[in-house]
Amino acid sequence: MEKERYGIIFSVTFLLALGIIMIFSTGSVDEEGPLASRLFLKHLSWMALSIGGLLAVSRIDYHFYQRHALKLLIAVFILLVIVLIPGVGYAAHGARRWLRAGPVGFQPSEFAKFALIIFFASFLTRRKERIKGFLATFLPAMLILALTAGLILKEPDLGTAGLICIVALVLFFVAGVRFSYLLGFGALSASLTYIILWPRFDYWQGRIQSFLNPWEDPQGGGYQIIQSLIALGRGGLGGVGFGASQQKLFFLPAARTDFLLAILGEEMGFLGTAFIVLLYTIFLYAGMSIARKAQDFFGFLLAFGFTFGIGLQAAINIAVVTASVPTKGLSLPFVSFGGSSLLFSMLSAGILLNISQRKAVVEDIPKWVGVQDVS
Amino acid sequence: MYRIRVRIILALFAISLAVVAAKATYMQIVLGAHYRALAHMRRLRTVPIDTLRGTIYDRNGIPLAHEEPVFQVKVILKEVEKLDEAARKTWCRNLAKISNITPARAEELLQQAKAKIEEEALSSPKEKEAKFIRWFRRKTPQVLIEKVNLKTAALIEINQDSLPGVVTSLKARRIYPQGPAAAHIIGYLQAINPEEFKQYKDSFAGSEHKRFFPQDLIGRQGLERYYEARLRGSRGLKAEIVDAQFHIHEEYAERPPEPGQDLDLTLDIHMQRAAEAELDDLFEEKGLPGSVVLLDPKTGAILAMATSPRYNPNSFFRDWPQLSQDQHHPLLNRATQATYPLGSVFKVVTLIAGMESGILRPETSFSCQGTYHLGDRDFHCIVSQGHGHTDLHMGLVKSCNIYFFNAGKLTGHREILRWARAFGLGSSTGIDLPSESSGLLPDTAWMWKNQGRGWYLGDTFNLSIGQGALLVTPLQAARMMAAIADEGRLRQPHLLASEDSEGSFQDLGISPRTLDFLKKALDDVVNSPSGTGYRHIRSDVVAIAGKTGTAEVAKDIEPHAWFVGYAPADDPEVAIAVIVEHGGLGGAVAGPVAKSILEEIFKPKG
Repeated sequence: MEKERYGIIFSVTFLLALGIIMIFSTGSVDEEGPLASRLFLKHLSWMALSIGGLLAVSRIDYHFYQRHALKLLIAVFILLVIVLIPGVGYAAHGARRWLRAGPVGFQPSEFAKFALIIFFASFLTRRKERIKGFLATFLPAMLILALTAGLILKEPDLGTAGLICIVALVLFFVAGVRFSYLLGFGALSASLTYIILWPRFDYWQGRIQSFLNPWEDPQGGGYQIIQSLIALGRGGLGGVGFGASQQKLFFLPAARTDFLLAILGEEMGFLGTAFIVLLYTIFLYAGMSIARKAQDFFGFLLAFGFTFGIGLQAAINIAVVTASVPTKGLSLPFVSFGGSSLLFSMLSAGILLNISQRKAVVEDIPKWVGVQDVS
Repeated sequence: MYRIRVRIILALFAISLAVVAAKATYMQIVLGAHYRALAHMRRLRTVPIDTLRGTIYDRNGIPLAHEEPVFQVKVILKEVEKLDEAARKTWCRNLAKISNITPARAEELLQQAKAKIEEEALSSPKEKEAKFIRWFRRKTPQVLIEKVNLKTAALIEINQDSLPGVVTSLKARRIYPQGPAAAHIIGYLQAINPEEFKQYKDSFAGSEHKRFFPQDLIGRQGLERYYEARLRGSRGLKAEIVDAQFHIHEEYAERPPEPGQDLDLTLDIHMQRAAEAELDDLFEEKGLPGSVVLLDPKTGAILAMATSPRYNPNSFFRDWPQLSQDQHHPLLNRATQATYPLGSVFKVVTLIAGMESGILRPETSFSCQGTYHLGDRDFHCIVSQGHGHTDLHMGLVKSCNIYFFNAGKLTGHREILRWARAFGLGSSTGIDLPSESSGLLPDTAWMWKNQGRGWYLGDTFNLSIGQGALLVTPLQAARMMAAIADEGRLRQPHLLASEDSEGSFQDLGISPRTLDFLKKALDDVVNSPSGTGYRHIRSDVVAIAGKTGTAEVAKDIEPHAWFVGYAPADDPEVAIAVIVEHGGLGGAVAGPVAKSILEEIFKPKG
């Protein structure tokens, strides 16, 4: 699977590079100057760590995770609980999402996203024979998912919780869980969300309302979306030029994280945005191809889950920045500033590379792939 | 089956990705121009650049009012709020040490700056605006100390490390280097009031660049007020590209500021000071307010215009409570705003009216017994035993009332009023100063309107000697005498040098015969032993001519003392009017003042 491997390496490398460029550019408005900008240096450090992580993980046989899936899940729960404890968890912008050790911040929800995909891949592989069972497969999976999502919602981090749910459900779907169960669960959770959560989540409600009509309150709720649109609009076809973004001058909140693409669109124009979309498409294509050719069911689910998760997060981020869906608080994988997000995206990519290195042996061809697909 | 499911997911995913990509394309390519325009509006901030007010110079280029740089100490409150209790105490101590105040005072000033922001925030009706004000003011420098000297400012700049958040800034301040000299002519500045602001907030003097801001100063009195439009500069404008936190990222001047025009005055500050010194002596010794006007008869230029008592425009607002209570009205510019009966000085007008109408001749004589009985009223002369047989010349030189009663009676009040009007008595001169009084020249219509009766002969008697309802300003008196000194040419009195024009006058058409006769008589008032001014006004330094006046106000109140004249008598260079309120006899009280001033002006140089 040479081609796929190069596809992953190519797209990730370019996305990382664009990330460095854009964070350098947005950092240029900091008092210290672009090179000395604390965030820029931080980003570089995280990137070095992440690349190291990717290289390490790509050398570890991915079946290793299958054996330790449960431990990972327990670690997820512990971290998600302790981040909620005031004084331990670090809050910013009204959400308690971070664990801090000195200058290093860590988002347990990013880890949860990564670890849950591993756990479910392992879980579904183990339950492969009883995949259609309700009590054996569906219910425990749903309970674990609901518990995790609930803890993340408590932070609150709606974007990540939603993303984990969708990725998990899609994973269940492709693994062969009965569609009617999933549909039922989807309908149930949708109505539950509507009844219980909607009126309580002012924060969420506000987001949706400002999404529906950002111009109603351009200085308030609609501000971020409008600033994002202005950034993209200013960019036009060719962009205003590298470093020339004005939106990054604190007009656009979260310009380095969730809305970095808007600044990229402003400075590099439609060509830049289109290039980003192309890079993700390559990543998706390569990732899906790795999943398809994976050695076993676990490899397939793992590759599919990571690829889909990263692709979905990128798609949602692009959709948010273009005001196609309400703001979510999801960063652009590999590109945005954000230590834990970058690290776990890179670890995912590392695992993908490892899966791609293990060719399916003809005897091992899983039934689910179909003989004609073996390359 | 798995393959189908995978494909369904991938297809759905591809479709959504395509939709999002299409949206991005639409945003950037189709709506680009629209958002670019929006962005530009938000980023570009135009900021006014302050300008300087024009300087006022006297005729020799000595500044009478100018802008002086002062240093202000400002504070960025956000920086100070970062300090903990101990650091803040140190901060106050450091500031106190440098700027010569107590640490407690430093803390107090800090609280004041905070209170001011809060006050401004509370005055805005919208909560959002108030929030913005608090946020914005706290991160931009706010005035802490209004004025410090250069040394303090320098010390603050050097000690930036120990004074976080403290900055100095340079501001222009209006200074009147001559202090109280010519204070009434120059005027002073005051913060614009809400009504004026409403009127001038969009434009002033036809220029939007001269428009007023809420804290701007505006001329309140004198030339500062009259020439506000000229003195006031045009603010410049610079454009700044700012970020959402108002940090400036780019800056370029759109329009440089234009300083206000300077004013070159006809005023001679030395003559002004000489005149003021005389008035001040009188006021200090006897408590008598007064006024002096010095005019150039050949141009109408005001050389000096003094009034006492005065105020100091540099400390006007500090002195205000006292000034406003003072019974002597130190804020009044007596030369143009106070009106007085002209008294015997008016006899000059009666004489001209009589001679020009052919009724009086030099040899026309009347007998003065000291009293003129008219009906049940007695009109008195200044000498109770009378002047005896008096001709026109002696009538003026000795200022015989009885002579002028007769002369007025023969000439008729209409003719006298016509000449009084021609000399501009009882109407404002149009000098370039605000709030000039017009005075009063009563005629028959006025009598009907205000006294409910017609014009009586007694009114003619009163008018002939400058009494009755007649009221003039010292400036009007000086202008009248200047016209006589300059062959009957009435000129526009003015303070601005550019208005000087020898060719611009109104010829009153007084015959040379009358003028020669009158000038001889005015010469003799001072220089012949029988004249009313001989004893106190005659000078060895310069030949003074003129007319004394003792203007009755009411019984038992000292009359106003006048001397109105010119010098030198043969070729007048200066016309002068002096009045001392309730001073008594014109020759004895106003005369010496005029004499001293003119001697000071004409004394041999060196």
